[in-house]
Amino acid sequence: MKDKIPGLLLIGSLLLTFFAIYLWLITEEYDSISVEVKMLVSASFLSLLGLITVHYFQNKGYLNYGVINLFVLLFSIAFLTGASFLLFASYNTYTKRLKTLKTSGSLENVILSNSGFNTEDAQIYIDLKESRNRLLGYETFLKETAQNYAPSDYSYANVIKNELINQLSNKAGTQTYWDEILNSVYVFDTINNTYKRGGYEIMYVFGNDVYPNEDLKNTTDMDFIRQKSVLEYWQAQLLDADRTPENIASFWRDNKAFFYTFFSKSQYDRLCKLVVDDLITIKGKINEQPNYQEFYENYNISDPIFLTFPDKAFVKSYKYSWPFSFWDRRYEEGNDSVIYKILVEIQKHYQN
Amino acid sequence: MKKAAIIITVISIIVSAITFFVIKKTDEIMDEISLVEEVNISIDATTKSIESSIDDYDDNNKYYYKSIALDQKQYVEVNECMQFYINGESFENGNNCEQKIVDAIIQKDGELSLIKSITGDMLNYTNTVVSLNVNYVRNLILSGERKTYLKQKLILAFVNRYRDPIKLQRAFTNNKAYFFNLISKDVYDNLYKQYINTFLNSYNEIHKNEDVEAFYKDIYFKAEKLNKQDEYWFYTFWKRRELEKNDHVIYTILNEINTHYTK
Repeated sequence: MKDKIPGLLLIGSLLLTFFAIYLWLITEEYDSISVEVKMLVSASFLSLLGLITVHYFQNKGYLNYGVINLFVLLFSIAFLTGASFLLFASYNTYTKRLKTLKTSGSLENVILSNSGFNTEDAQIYIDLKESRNRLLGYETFLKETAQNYAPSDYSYANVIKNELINQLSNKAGTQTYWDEILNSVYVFDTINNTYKRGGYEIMYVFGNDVYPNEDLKNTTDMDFIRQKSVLEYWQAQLLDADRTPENIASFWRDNKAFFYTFFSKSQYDRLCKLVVDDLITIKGKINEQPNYQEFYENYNISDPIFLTFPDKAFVKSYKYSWPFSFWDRRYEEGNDSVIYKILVEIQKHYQN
Repeated sequence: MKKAAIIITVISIIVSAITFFVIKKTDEIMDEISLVEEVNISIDATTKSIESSIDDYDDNNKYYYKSIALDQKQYVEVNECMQFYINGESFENGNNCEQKIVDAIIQKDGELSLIKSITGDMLNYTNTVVSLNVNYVRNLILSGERKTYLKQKLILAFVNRYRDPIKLQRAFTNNKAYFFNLISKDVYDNLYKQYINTFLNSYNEIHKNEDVEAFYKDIYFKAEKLNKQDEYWFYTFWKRRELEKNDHVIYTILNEINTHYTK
């Protein structure tokens, strides 16, 4: 039995090789070895292995038939024919490709642009053309401005105001943007170096009045123009803002760093703390009422019953009714829980 | 038979090895060919994009707008001046209007930038060639007299500042480095060389005569009699410069430019 092992091994590896080659030939690999190469390698392996197998078995006394030897010879001749044919074909292809390479140009002699311009000159011409276009742009600007110029009904201060508003919207998402807005809203007093509006006074900044495109007439006070511009801009932003909870959450996430930078703890305590604390306390009390959603859906600030919720004494303990109507309006918009979360986060941030 | 089979098999394996080698070499050549093709395609694309950047064919109807930041005083002044223009009246009805507007432009971008814009305005751009518009100056003067060509009026107003030889020399000295750097020798040869040489040659031709005045008289006579103003323009140019007393400065400047680019 032991002397049969090499024989069995040979047959086994022969079969395995057949199987492997079969798999190899049928798999299409991307960017791979071409079929011809695969066939050549397989044929070489097979023929070697086959020869060794046949030779081994014949030495052992099996397969000593003339037919076997004939078959082996025929197979080797077929192999030689196939290999020679492939060599001939691939050599043909090689010479053809070599000729293409010589005519189309190797990388050393790629032909540069065949227009009249080399790239350096082209850059100069483009540069000069852009300068010329700028001149044409000035011409258009002068003509159009002159056509819109009506000194009697629209003043230069308004021109500045529109320009400032444009510049402001371009700066959105930066610290300077927020500094400018918060300074204008809290009305920074340069003389006393302090903010004039804190706590509930902030409500007087916007209130119910919508800033129309206000005519600043002939004022030349740049600070006044600047403040009016920012407030008009911010009012428009508030009115147009997307008040969905998702947008508010992401807006807060994207901009809270600027808010925290602007308000130091002392500024926050002076300007914001009162309102934030009140809003949180009130909302906490309201959330304890089991039917507050129903109440909000049925009543609002214009109903007399509104200010008896959650109870008259509690409402009366606050100077302003504003925080109560605030939560009603937020409930209507569907963003009350998001805003409550944000307020709590702010309160916690400044408690440390 | 077996021996033959073995020998033939060995030879086949050698032939296979050679074939494998040839196939590999062919692949390398294929890679280089396709790389060359890729490079050619990308050069083609760059060329097309350069050509279309330069080509002015579509640009003539394009809308350009460039605002100038004016302070309040300028805003009022410039717009008051521009009202004459919009109403089709002459700027002369106003007070130094063209100069005021030019001042506003210079304040925004600087003098150098305006000179560069005028330089750019003097060229004709097509997608195959860029050339100097040799009638630019004459067209400027002629059309600037019409009431509706704002750009030409403003350029003339700016250029007129430099008829004074001292101002001209100073402006040239201050700005020449920039322009020598901007305009390469190739671009100079393509656009300006011939034009500047015409000026230099005509000046030399005039001044090799002993009696320059007589020469001018003759030229002016011929120009009027034979109606050849255009042909003699390069000569009458120098006469007008002589009257403005800046002919020598201009000749020196043109000579310096020519020398710089023929080194």
